[in-house]
Amino acid sequence: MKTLQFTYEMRTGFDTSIWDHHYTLKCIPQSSERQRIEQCKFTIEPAGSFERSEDSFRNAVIFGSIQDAHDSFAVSVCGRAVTGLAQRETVRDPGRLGSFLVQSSYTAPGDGLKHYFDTRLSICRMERPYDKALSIMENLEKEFRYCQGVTNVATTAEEAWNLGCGVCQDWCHIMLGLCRMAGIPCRYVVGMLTGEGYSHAWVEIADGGYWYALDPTNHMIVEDEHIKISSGRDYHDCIVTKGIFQGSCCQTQQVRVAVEALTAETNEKAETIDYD
Amino acid sequence: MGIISLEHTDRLYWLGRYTERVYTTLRLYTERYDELIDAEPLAYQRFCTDLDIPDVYGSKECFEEKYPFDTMDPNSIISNLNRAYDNAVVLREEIGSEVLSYIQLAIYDIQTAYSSKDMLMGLQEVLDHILAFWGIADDMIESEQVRNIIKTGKRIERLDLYARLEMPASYLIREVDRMRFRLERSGMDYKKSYVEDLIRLVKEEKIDYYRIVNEVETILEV
Amino acid sequence: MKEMCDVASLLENSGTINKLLARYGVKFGIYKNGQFKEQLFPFDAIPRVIGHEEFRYLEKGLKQRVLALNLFLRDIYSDKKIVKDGVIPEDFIFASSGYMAECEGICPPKGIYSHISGIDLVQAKDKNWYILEDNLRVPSGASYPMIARGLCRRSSPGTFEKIPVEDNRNYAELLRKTLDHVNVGGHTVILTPGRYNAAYFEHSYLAERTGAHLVSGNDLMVEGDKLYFIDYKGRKETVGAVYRRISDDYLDPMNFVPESLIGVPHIFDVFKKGNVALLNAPGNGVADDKGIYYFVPRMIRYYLDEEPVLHNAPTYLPFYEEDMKYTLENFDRLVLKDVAEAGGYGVVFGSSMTKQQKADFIALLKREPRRFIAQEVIDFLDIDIMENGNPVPRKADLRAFVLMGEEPMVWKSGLTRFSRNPDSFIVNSSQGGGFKDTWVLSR
Repeated sequence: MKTLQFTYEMRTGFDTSIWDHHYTLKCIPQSSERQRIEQCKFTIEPAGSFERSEDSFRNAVIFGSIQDAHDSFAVSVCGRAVTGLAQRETVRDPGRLGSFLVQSSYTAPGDGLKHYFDTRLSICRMERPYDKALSIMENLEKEFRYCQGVTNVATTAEEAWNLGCGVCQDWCHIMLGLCRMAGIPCRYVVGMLTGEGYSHAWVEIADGGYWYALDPTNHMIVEDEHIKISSGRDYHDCIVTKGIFQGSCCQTQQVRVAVEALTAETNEKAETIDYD
Repeated sequence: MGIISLEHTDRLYWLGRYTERVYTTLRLYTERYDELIDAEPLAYQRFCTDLDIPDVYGSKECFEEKYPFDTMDPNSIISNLNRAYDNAVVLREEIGSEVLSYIQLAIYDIQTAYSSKDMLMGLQEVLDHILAFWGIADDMIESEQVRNIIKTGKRIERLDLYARLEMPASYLIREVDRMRFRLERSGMDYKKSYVEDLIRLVKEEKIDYYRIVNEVETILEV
Repeated sequence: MKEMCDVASLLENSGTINKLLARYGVKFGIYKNGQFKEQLFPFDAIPRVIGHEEFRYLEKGLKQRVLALNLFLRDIYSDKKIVKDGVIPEDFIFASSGYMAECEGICPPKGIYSHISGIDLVQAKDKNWYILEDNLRVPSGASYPMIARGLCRRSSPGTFEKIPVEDNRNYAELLRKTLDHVNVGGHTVILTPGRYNAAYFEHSYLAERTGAHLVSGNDLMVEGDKLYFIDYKGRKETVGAVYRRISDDYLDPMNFVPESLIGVPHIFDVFKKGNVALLNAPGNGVADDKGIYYFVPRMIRYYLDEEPVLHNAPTYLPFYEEDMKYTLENFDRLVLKDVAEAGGYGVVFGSSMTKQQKADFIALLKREPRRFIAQEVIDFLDIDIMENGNPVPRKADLRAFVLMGEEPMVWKSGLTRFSRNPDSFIVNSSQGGGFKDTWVLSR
């Protein structure tokens, strides 16, 4: 169990003004059996008018619009998460598990992944889906490398597989594709990981009525260093910020994620500040 | 109900403008057609100059055929009628199927006129159906606002055309008055100072037609 | 046959009626070589006549079917009892292209999903009616017989004096009732993709007849969690019901296809909050999927505890081993349909394939059994159409419209479409063909 102080900041700059800007954000972590979110603060600048909602995967959603001209858009979420409260999470809609077995356009295997699954993976003798998934993750480490700048947000599992390397999104899509071929219901997870950098992605697989979280990029079982923000069938269901607007411009986006473990001491200090 | 979208307001206004343009240019064309019979071959060019349209015709024969019927010529009567139709067809629920049908009929008329030997009689039917359109629009469109917006378009176009044609002051005075009347009732935003200007301009001894056209064209640009 | 005699005057006036249809712009838009063209929708004056008793039977079956389909949609996007109870395999739900995970947990206003359903039927030579498909997304076509009727009555009053035909021009009234029933407060609008849509005539005609505003995506906007219609002064008027004639994919660029320029950003979020009714509800595609079609009779038994009144065309699911065996053994006399295709596409007849095509198809079928259904070819009862002054028999189907207000209401008419080509079974208007009025006798 850990207490993590987290900050997610996204800032988009537009070189000329935009207007009629609609946005959807899935950037607010929720409490669950595994994590407890405390003191979560959230700002949007400029805010326009927005509403809170929940998508069909029970992710927190903010949707809103800014009619007036503006040349930047910034979102920040910060708070504290107590993580590692449980090893697993109960499947809340068992009737929907089947939908996490269906390959999406991101995860659908092509010849490359199919061939690998048929000839190189030997998981059929394993019984538990969890063991199979673990084995898929362990084997994947031998076949796939981490590498930035080769793939992009539109890259599918099959494309990444053929390239042989990619970022966390690609690791996850490949892992999901293979698990689904093996008949394991599984989902894509977006969240934050201890340290500094971008948002991160990992997967959850269902076994015996519970979701288990695995981080294929880091070859690890998720315990208390991850803060989950959202989950869905693939990247598409978990896009952190989405927007459309009027105006033609070049945009630059900066994302900063910082997650720091609080010791008992800093924990108290933080609380004192907060009570001021 | 009484709520109209910006898009529909715009369409209603242009429906008024294009039907008027078809009507007035068609009448003018019929008049000039008569004059051209025994005039010198290039007399048709005056028509182009008067209406401020480029002479893309080259000969009297070509003008007589292309000006009413050439869909590739953006200034032709058929092009203006097609624009009237393009606006009308998206206004069915504002103006009603019955009113819309007269624009549709005018479209069929002009197509028939082109393929028939009796071109002038065919064009007369276009004119008849445009007139019927106005009559039924007045009679059947329930919303006063919708009627007023169409008529604002019609009156603005009429004044615009008459000024381009450098019609005598008496015509212009009447048209400015009619336009003002509609504008006030249309609920649209317009430049009130231009209306005052125009009332004055058409009464001046030496009429500045160019300025009138300019002000009419920009009267709604608020 | 007494009727045929009275219909004679109608046939004589067939030219007049088509002229009147042209006058009112009763057109169908099509794209030919990438260019938009408006085509008149050819009308054949010989009506399809359905007897009073016969229609009561159809009415009963159609109401039952649409009730069950609505209950199915409600169930699928919530508890999925029908799957849990093993009546429909979950594969057929989740792998269906019409299933929208985004709709999970949403209950549309009054729990209605399919407000306007177009159920396609055919009558076989043995006089039995068979359901061909259900259209629960944006079924079109009611406006055509509705406007044609008025013109027929105008040109041949005598015919209608003698024959007791149910008036079908109340469609707009039924539609308005349906729209008002689910309106959550505010204006009612019809959302069209624009005049270059094939069914634009219908959108504008129904707007005129129901008194709803015809709007395009630009006229609407979401602010906060409400949907507004923006008038020309920039004033916002709340919208309570949207009869949208845009497919789910293009409805909301923030939730579905982001490139859509015809939708309204965040309209789906407003719908999800219960602040606007969308007719028909998003996600209905899971119920009119050709694969799910097979299960509709089971749905009726499951949800309503009744025997289906109307029958499906005998259908086999190669997904089931037994049905695969039957399909392969009887391949030459079956018609095979790709469940993902619509509008008459993806339909092949076993009898018309070459040896090689057949071998290829069977290989594909074995590889992707879930993708196809096989059906017995129904021997259609032909209907006469007039061609060059003579009646000739042609294939025709019937699209019945069922509107779901407080109660299901079956429109006492329907769209009868026929194929011009004597050998064609495909009557879809996007592939040529014309329409007829459908008369339901009132006695």
